[in-house]
Amino acid sequence: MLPYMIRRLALAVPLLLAVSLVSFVIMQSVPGGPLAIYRNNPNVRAEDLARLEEKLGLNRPLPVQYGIWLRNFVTGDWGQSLASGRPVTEMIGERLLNTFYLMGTAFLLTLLLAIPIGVLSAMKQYSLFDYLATLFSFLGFSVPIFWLGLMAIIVFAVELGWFPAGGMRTIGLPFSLTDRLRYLVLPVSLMAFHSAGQYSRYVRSSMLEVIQQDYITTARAKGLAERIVVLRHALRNALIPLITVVALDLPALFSGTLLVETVFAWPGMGRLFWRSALRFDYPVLMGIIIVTALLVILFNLLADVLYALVDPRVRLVAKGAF
Amino acid sequence: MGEGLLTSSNPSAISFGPRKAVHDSPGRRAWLRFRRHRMALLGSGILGLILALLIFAPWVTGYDPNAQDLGMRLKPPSLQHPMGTDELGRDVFTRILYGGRISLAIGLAAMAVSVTVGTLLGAISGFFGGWVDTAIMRLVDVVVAFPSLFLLIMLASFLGSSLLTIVLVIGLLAWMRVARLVRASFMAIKGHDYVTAARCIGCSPRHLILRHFLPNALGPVIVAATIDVSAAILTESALSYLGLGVQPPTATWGSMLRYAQDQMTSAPWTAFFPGFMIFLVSIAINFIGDGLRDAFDPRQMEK
Repeated sequence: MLPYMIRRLALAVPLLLAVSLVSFVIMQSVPGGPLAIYRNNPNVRAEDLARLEEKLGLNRPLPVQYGIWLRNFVTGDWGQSLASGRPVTEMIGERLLNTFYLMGTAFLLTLLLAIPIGVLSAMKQYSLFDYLATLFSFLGFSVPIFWLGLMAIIVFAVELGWFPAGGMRTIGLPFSLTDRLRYLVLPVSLMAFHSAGQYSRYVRSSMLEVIQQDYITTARAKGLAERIVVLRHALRNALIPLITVVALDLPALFSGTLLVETVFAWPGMGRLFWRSALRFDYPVLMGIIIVTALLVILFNLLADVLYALVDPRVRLVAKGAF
Repeated sequence: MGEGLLTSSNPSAISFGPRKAVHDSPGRRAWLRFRRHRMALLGSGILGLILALLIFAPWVTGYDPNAQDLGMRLKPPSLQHPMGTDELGRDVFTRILYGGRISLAIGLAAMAVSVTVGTLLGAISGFFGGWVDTAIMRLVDVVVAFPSLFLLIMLASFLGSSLLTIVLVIGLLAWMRVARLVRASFMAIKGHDYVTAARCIGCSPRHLILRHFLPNALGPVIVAATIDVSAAILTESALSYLGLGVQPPTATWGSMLRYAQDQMTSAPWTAFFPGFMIFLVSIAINFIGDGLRDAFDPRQMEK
């Protein structure tokens, strides 16, 4: 297992290099360079611009710039935000946890909804419940999540006043769990609504497959209660493929989180990325791009390791880019 | 295609009863299966209605989508303005119709890009195999593993957001599923006898790909293409909502949402209708895609 993990992590290095190189080229390929927007700003004097260029090393040839960026990046100097002047590492560090907090809670709620729905759908295949669950999953992934967020704000925050419209906690209030939860309800339920339907479909089909296996027939023949057969024997094995589904869904999850953070003014990484993109704050963008890529790689690795742990038939062999 | 030939040489097709011009073909059977999918029919109906409204927009509404009427700002839905007016007194219904044209056109064009690129790369990968295949599939893995919205935001903000760049950027980040499908179906029929036979009688790779390989991939690609349209419409609306899509005064459903946000508590209709249209079109297309999947699935035989 350990050699496998090390080899996989080693394979991630060229990938991260490729991601950083591509992002770097995109940001430098703007006509006028990365500082182009400042050129049209009458408040920025030409000599200031030149000084900034000098300081950021933008007047050197591209390969040299990339080399310098890479060296600094590896040594932990990710540069300063052009907008706020603060170190990029500090800014990302602050928001990464907030994003995890949001994504993690949403993920838990998704599973809490998806697994029972999927199991019930499979047990009562083609029933009204199964039909409604399918409809629920179609609604979930067809609805634009940012629009649903705005509608939820209008109804539950503005009209009814049950939950706050945005943010993560009441500013100035000492830590309180109920306060935190109140801010979580709207964004987290939206994210769960968006993915729970899809996940429940996977649980359903995987349950239907497992339930036909011989060992389930054996368990039933032994006279075990149906509840025990389903929950102890079938569900355990039916949930294994879900690990892969979640791992494959992860990039989409990050994208969805960005939208939800934007709608609900959640101080996370996605919202920071969006605001930095509007301001052409490229050191911040570079940092977040790399962190996101690294996270996706790490979670994929985690999914593979988990899979091998729960399914003894799987042996891990290092192959491929991920 | 070669279906007519096949049925006419099939003895069971010759009947002595009254001649009725109903011949059996895979396409017809697929259509019969699709027709039985109620949600797909509902989706087609909704989509058809919306398309008709968008196409005949100038006859459906008398307003100019960009005509401002500052005396009529933020009026709630009424008989004159069925979806109300926005912050500049423009008719929301009219803007929905004209904006929908842009949103749908972007969705279709981005799908065309992703299907073309995906088919091309998938075909090369599946037909030639070897290191070409490995290289293309690794590229697919890399692009798939990255949260596309992050790249879209970066590209749109740095490359600017003209219609063309939006279409290209969305399409070029969505070709991977089609590439995988085309490759898989190529691999599946590679070893079949009729392909070997076609090779033996000296068919060129071009002929092999166009006449034997690609038709085989058609079903799954049509399904993926359908779903790609709704995904592209959602992506475009997300970009426009984030302020990185098509720029004003051109309306798209996403950009209407963006500007509605500022007064959505006092004038919720300005935010409700554009998003609801995105939702309606997206779910209609997804239902159609589901129906097509059942229709093209050869395992789904008539019961």
